[in-house]
Amino acid sequence: MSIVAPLAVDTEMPQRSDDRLWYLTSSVLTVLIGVFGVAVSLRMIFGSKISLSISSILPLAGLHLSSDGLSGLFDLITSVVAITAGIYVYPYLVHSRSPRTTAAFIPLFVMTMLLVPVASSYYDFLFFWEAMALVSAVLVLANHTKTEALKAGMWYIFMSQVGFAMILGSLAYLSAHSPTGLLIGGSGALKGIPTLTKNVIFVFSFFGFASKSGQLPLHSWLPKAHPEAPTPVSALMSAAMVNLGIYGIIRVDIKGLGPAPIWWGVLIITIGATTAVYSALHSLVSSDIKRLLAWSTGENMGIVICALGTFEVLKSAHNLNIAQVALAGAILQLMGHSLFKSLGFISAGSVIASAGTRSLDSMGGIIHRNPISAMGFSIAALGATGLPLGAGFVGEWLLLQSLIHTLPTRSTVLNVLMPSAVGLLALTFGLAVAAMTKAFGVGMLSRPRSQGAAESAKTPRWEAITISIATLLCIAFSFNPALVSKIVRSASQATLGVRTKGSVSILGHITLRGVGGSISPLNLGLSVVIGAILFASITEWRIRKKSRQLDVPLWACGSSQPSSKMQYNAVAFAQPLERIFNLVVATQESLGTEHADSDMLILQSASYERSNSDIFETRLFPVVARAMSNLSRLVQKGHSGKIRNYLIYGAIGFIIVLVVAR
Amino acid sequence: MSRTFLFSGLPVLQLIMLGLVAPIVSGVARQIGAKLEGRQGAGVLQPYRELRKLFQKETLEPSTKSIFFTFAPYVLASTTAVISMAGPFLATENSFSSSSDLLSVVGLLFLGNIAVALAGLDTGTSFGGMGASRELTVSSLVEPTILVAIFALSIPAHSSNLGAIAAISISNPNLIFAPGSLLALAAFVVVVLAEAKRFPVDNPSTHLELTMIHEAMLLEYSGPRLAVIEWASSLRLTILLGLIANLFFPIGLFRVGQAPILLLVSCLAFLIKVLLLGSILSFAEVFMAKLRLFRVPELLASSFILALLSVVTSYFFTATR
Repeated sequence: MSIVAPLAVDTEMPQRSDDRLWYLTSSVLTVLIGVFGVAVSLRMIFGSKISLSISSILPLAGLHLSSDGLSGLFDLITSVVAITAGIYVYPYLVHSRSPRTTAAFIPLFVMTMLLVPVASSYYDFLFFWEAMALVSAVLVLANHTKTEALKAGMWYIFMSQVGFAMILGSLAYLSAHSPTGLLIGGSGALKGIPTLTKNVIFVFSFFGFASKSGQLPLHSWLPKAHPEAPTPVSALMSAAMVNLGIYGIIRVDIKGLGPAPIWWGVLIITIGATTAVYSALHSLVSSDIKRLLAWSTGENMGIVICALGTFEVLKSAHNLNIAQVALAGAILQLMGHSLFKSLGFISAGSVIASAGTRSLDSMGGIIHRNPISAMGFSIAALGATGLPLGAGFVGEWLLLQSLIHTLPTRSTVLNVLMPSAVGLLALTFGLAVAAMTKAFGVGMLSRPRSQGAAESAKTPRWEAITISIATLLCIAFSFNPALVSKIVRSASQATLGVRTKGSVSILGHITLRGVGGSISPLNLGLSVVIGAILFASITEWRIRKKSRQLDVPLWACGSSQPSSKMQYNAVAFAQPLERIFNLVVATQESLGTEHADSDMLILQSASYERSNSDIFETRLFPVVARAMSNLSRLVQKGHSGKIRNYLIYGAIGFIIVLVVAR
Repeated sequence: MSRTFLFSGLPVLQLIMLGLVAPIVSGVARQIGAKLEGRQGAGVLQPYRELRKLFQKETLEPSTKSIFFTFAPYVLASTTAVISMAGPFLATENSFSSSSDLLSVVGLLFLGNIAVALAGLDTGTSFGGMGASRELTVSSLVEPTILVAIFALSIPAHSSNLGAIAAISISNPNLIFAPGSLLALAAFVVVVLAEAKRFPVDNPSTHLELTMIHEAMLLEYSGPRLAVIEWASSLRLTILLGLIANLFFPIGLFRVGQAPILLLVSCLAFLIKVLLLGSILSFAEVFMAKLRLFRVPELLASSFILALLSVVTSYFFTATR
């Protein structure tokens, strides 16, 4: 918190005239970093190793950068997101009159995110990881004058530091046992780690990294912090930063600590699949458009982690061929998610700016006033559903294939786990579709539900350009994943550490070698589009030829025109599913009435409030909090305030250190 | 030469055949229902007459519609047509069958549902929103069940392609009576009722009932666009019945490499099976009451559990064999 406090003063100053220069510089710088990142990461992917060692820059250990296909993949995703989000930075900052701090920290944030995957020593990795967490915390706190944002920032700082402590502990131990201290390109595996210690390190580092990706149980910062951050930062966090948690899991847990016992994979699948369903449900009941997108991020990361777990299980079962299918699924899901989620946040941000509200219940009719943003959001929502023609389809298809081809084992655990994972993923799929239909149908279609939505301005040019670029990227990826074929291969080779032929070939058709099975997103997409155009042209020609009455009043059961308040809103839309899953989403409703007279006969006003609570926050966290405060009370007893006691503690501590270090 | 021609021509043949037969299937179902209720019925050809009538009517467009309202019927029709081209309805394999993968078929069905639900929300009426909300409540439970149920079949087949699953069942009929397949069948039948908007989930013959789902979304449609929706809905019913027929009882299904004359047998077998299933459907509907909306999820949840159990059994049985 000490870093944040002095900045708080700066943000309360009135906007100065030369702020626009700051905003423009920030935007241009972010885009330039993105372009530079794309160039460098493509070089990493296409084989040339990049390494840089300057011992004088960072204190203690020096700066060591190095790369492989995996670093290339994550840097490429971050850079592409940085380009689209970077263009959007300028119009956003101008519109929201953000403080200069925000403008200054956005390029810095992108920079730290790019450095994490190329940090080659344990020390550098931890340094950039923490730098990224701190810089993003400042950005989340950009609107710190709002209570919600302040609270979100505190949740974020707390959870990211807990995660960091877990990672720090495990990586420090690994670093000590690594012959070179290198994370990338270090020669030789880790030696001399007892099995129990290895398991403990796995559990700690996995939960630490998973918390960065918004996985249970350390997930609750994500749906709070992502919506409260400035929108370009939300896009960067949701589409790029959460990926780095996945990077950590692959780099440290899967690649570094392997070969793994089978229960590691089981744990990873369990966490991933549970988070996916849990987040999908919460995304469904959210009425705040950014919160809905943030929960959807947790859901998609859950699917990626589930795919990684499948990879791990299959690898432990020595089924390398199918394991690669799961890995390719994870990578494609990751890329697809980054593309559609950055598009989703940018187009939602533009809608929020023009309609003046984040609540879906006050939106509506955006497609009439603001068609470009609405169309961009529709492509993003289609991607988030995982349906054919969307960017999320290929990844889910590959994951499903790997589950089908899992060689039947005699292991009872796997025979129960795999079907459950399939069931949970299928449910996630259904719920995500409902959530995204709600977001798009209620928010962008239908009639305006508020003054702001009815008078929302047209999409400004800068935003329209950003949205168009991001939309084109999304469509290109979903229709022709062959574009990223080489990237997937290089990243999966880097993960496996051996040169294999690769069991997934991504060309016009995505084909699984050795087991059979292929699909062509291009054929599928084109035939649906061409079919729709054919049906449309025949029927619309017929309609034009016959008479047609435009602007007919709506069907209202014979009464006067229904007011816009009579439409279904976001809460009403999700209500049936919310009622079914009430156990998980825990809806609280309260009805308050105020009466004009003391006999309570005349009703003056009525108020209705509802909220959904995160059951982990209401059930699990208080237990942990109580345990912590009991523990600290115990520690407090030792703090007597008398010098002689502290001297004794010091002496005992010194002896312990001597004994351990001997 | 003629075989490759046949192979590449099959998708179009399937589309034409299913597209033409679809209205009869709902016509037969309706006629049987009418007879059982002691009514005269309008004849099995009534759906064709209705389509012709609608196609000649003028179109009324609400003032609040957007491009999504205009195009939803065509997306519904197109996704349904693609499934009918790709799926294993007349033959196990054709030039388009790489798109008859489990996930893509379920996805396309879902896409059609969403298109109509968005059209329901688009005009901003209470009815449209209500229908859309209920439709998604049902289909977000139904589509996962279809996915999981067919997944159970794809484990012994080692492929998620529907044609490959049907082909395996033909060459190894014992698989059909495996416990996993039977559980999957039970789950699948329940969700097909829900997906086809039939009893006990929805009432296809009403327009003004507070419990309706599908029809509520379509209230603002009229003329040729409504005709397209009606046609696509009957095609969906045919497809779903066809999937039950050919995944669980693939008798007579044409395989690539067989004499082309057997294709006629396959067409006939498909027709008989689908009409038979349609009759059973309407026969059963007469004796069923519609469920209250909030009882529907219980039904769907139980079929989801059945589907899940079928996958578990498939894993165990395939493993021990």
